[in-house]
Amino acid sequence: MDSRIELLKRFFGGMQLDKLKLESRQYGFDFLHTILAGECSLEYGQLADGLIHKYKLLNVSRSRLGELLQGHVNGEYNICCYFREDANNVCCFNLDSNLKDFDYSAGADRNPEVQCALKELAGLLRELGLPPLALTSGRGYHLWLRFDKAVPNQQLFDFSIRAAAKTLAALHKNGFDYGKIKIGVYPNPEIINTGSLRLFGTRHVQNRVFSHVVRDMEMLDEASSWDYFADYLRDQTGPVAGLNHACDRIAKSSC
Amino acid sequence: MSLTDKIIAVDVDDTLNNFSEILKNTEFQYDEAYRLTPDNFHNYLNHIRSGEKDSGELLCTEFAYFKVKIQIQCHHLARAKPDAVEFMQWLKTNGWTIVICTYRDLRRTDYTQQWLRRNRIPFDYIFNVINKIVFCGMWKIHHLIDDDPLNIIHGAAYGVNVYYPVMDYHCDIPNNGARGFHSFEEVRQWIQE
Repeated sequence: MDSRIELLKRFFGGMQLDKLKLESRQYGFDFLHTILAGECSLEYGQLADGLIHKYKLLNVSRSRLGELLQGHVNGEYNICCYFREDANNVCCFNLDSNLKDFDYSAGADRNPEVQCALKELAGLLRELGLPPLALTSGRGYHLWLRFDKAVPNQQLFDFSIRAAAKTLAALHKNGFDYGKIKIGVYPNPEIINTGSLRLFGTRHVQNRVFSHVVRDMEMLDEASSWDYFADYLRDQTGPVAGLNHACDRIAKSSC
Repeated sequence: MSLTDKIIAVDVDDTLNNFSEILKNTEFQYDEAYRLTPDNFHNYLNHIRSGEKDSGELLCTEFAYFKVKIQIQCHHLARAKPDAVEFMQWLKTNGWTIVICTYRDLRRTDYTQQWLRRNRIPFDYIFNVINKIVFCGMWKIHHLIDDDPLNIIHGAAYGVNVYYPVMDYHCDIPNNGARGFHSFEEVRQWIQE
């Protein structure tokens, strides 16, 4: 098996894997029948901006998942996964530009609000003993945390909301308009079955930029990003006790 | 008629149901859960009813969030048109492939399929599409039933036969070959021509 698929399965294996979203530039009934091979069914499709098609697939078997992940790492399409309904061992902050006229070709690294938020949020998480895996993604960045055991969604959400609020406050203190960014936190109990996130290891559908790892505000190349991803999985998967401690600290601190 | 000719895209709001009527006539109650002042609540509601768009520079705004909340209520309250239900069942019985094609954000509105099934409206696929003419062109769907003036005006230029339920706001637009109907029975006849 492709070692990249093994890494993805290990990192994201705690999420719902029997349903997923596939993002592609391919379309048409013939293509649809191809991706619906096996027992898969289509919940719905979407034609998004930039002529990108998205397909939410249900009843994805383990073997079909492997095939789809191969297409993912081969760059044929992107696979996005959904969080579990009760508890998860990963959580993610989506840090995006909130500007309608965001220029995908320029990238988020030229957006000062997003850059400031990335620095503040990554710094806060590190300070709390939870170094994130930061990845470039379209309008901004995804900051993942991974734990050795599943954590109730409400605890993850409460922690994430506090961290996001502190980030927005820090943005304000730095003289930026915090309305120009948005921070989505996952898992969010309100949208647990409707919000999915792209897995590491592909190019964004809009700007075709790889999901580079960002370390100390520096973007790693593709090969180094895979290496770091493997290192993070091995070395930085944090104990739940660390999250509990971080939750206590962030709850007691003020913005 | 070939198999590819028997594929049809059908809109939901104001085509299969009475969305605009519900939006216009429902008395939405102020609730603190909207996290708006009462003044903003009423102002925003008026903006939504008059079809105004959020012209600011930001994607996610207080107004956009409120608009979604109101639309969701309308989706739940809207009633299926009896002749639309009958027409859709006729399509299915007669071997048409039905693609529901809606502006609704299907990530948020997972109740749409339940609504369709509850109203016995058959369909094969459901898609969230903003540019329906482009979608129909890409997927080689030659028939679209939709009330949006944009599609009525531009459908023919892209080889899409557009049929629309005639509403007040259609009086000032050129139909460019699109056909307005007062009953789905008319559409049934046209698509068999």
